[in-house]
Amino acid sequence: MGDAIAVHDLGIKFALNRRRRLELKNLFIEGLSATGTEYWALRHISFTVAKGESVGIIGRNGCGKSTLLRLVAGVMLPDEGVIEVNGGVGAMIELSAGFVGDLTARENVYLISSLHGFSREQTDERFDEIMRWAGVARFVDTPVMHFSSGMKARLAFSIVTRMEEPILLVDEVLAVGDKAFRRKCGVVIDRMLGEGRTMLLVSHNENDLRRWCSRGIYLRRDEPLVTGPIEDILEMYLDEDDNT
Amino acid sequence: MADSPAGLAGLRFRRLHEGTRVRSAAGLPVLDRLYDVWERRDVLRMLTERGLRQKYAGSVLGYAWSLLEPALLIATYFLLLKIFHKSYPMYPLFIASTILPWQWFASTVNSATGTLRQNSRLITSIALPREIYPLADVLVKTVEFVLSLPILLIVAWIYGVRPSGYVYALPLVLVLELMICVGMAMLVSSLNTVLRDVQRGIGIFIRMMFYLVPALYPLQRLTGSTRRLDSYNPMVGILEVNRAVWLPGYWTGWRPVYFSVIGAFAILAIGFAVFSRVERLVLKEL
Repeated sequence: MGDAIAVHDLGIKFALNRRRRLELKNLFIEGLSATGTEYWALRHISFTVAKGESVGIIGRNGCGKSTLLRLVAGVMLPDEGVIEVNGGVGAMIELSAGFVGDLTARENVYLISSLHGFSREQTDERFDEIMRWAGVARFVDTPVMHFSSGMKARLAFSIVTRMEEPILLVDEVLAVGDKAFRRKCGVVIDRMLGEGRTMLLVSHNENDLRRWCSRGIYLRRDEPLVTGPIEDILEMYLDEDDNT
Repeated sequence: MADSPAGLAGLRFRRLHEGTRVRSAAGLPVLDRLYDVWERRDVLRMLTERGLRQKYAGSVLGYAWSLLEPALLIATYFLLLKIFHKSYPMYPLFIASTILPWQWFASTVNSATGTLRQNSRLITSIALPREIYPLADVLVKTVEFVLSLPILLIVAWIYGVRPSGYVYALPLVLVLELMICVGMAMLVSSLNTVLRDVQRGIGIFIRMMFYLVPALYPLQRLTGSTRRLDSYNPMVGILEVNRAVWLPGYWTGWRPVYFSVIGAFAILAIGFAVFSRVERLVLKEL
């Protein structure tokens, strides 16, 4: 089977008023689903991503791009359909999640590495490299609450890109940081794709999408998704954007 | 890939073969979930360490707090009850023997209540078994409980008391308490995410329970309906055994312990059942 990711008839729904009041009765009798008005944020979504392929997800704000990525990453659960992921997944979503301000950079690197599936020994091996790439080697024993957001982003990216998972899920993480950092990140993504990894990328940046993705998925609210070569998909997206 | 999604109902996360994971709308059996947690036990250890480090990071007294806190608590209740002219023989030991296991339970529930919300950014960005977060809280509080035990030993030493024969029942009730802690942590952490009232309610509930269990007074003090209420409370048997270990001649029988056994298994089962049932909704709410 050549597919790294296969999504079949996927659907997820949310409550219209997120701040609904749940009643205990519903919680147990109706199994948590039948309360209030709901809408399907995603429905009847099917697509596949072949091994070694890099696919970009395009769409306006609120069309469900990030939700889709999170479903594939397994940090949300679908209400309908099936997601099949063939191989380990490295999710680069909200990179600075997990940092504990009170703890030092060293402690945080070990913590976050372990969350991403590294053993202590693996982190030992990579530690110096992680700190060097992030450019924070001098601050090994500084609590990260004193780090700037840029420093934290660099450190997080440096940890995460040492993952060896064959499937990468990337959500707008390249949008943070200055130009030099973005260039550095780009080089790393190039290298990872060069190793034959599969990538699913959510981005608003046309240049990034053209640079890395061969195929695009155009996600629209309440309309079937369209997939095709990235150029066609981008054109379609930009056209529609202009017309409204 | 299955022909129809309906054919896949019943498996959500099962590995079909090496490295393949399937997620579907159906739920995952408890045993598979526990296996997932076991596979990521290194993360559980890491999060537990994080909880402990965080507690002592930047604190001047550091570990001393683990002793100071229960010591001050014992002193407070001792003084309080003195004001009310209530006292029992070896009263500080009387309190120390029950207040430490009680604090273990109460602080676990309190810290587990908000744990999924506090870790929401992690939960929504890294795929880990969600059970890990409340379980890490239980482990942190368990370690703190163990670290606070020297206070009890010191008080016992001051009174020259050696543990009674009930000390052999201690491992049993400590395991039961651990089960209750795990079950309660699963229950309150997941429910609190979907029902905001839990956060407020649970604090009051635990406080009420504290005065209703024989922590500050002997079980015999209770009569009538409060006694009946307590006879179903699984914490009572646990506290009674703890006290019987340190107070010579104190014993009210095994009956409360039976309820601790039943209660511990029930709470554990309910905790996991509710957690897995609510999980999907929790992930949407975070």
